[in-house]
Amino acid sequence: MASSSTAFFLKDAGFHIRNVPKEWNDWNLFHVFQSFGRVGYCRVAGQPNDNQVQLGFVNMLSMADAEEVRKNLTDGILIGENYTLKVSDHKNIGGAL
Amino acid sequence: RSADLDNIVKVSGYPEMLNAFGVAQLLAPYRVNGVTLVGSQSAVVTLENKFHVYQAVQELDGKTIDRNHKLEVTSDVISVPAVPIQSPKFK
Repeated sequence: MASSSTAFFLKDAGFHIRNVPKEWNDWNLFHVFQSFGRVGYCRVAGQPNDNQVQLGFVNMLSMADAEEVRKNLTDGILIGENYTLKVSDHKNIGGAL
Repeated sequence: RSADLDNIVKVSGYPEMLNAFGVAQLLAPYRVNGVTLVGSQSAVVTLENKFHVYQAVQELDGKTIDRNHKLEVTSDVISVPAVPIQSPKFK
């Protein structure tokens, strides 16, 4: 079960994304993060109540790639031409490995 | 593990001496979940997901291994964004 947000991922290489535009799919999210490095996993998840934005999960293939993402964040926010993604670090659930 | 068709790349053109481990090394750092050799210089490789496949093709297709070997990496995966992609503003 490597392909769900509750599975284990390379430490410090995963991100939770909020404020994903509601018309995006996983490829849209993928291409945003591919501009920083190699992407290991990418998913657009269910919508919050107001249906305006979606949630996403992205894992980079290495910590170096994830660091490149962090360098481009300003206060946890990634700004593009038509989007503002709120990006936070994904932590694995402790003690289960 | 379920075998989805979009997890698959076809790899060919590598040196004849490589076994399945050698083929897996060609695809590093992408995650290889299975290798089926289908000829002396050709293999079908299952990767972790379609994004690994997409990036492996982009990065490794046409790569020169040595003066006699050029890697060929192909797949059926195409990028299908729901809305057109804007070029990222900063890099």
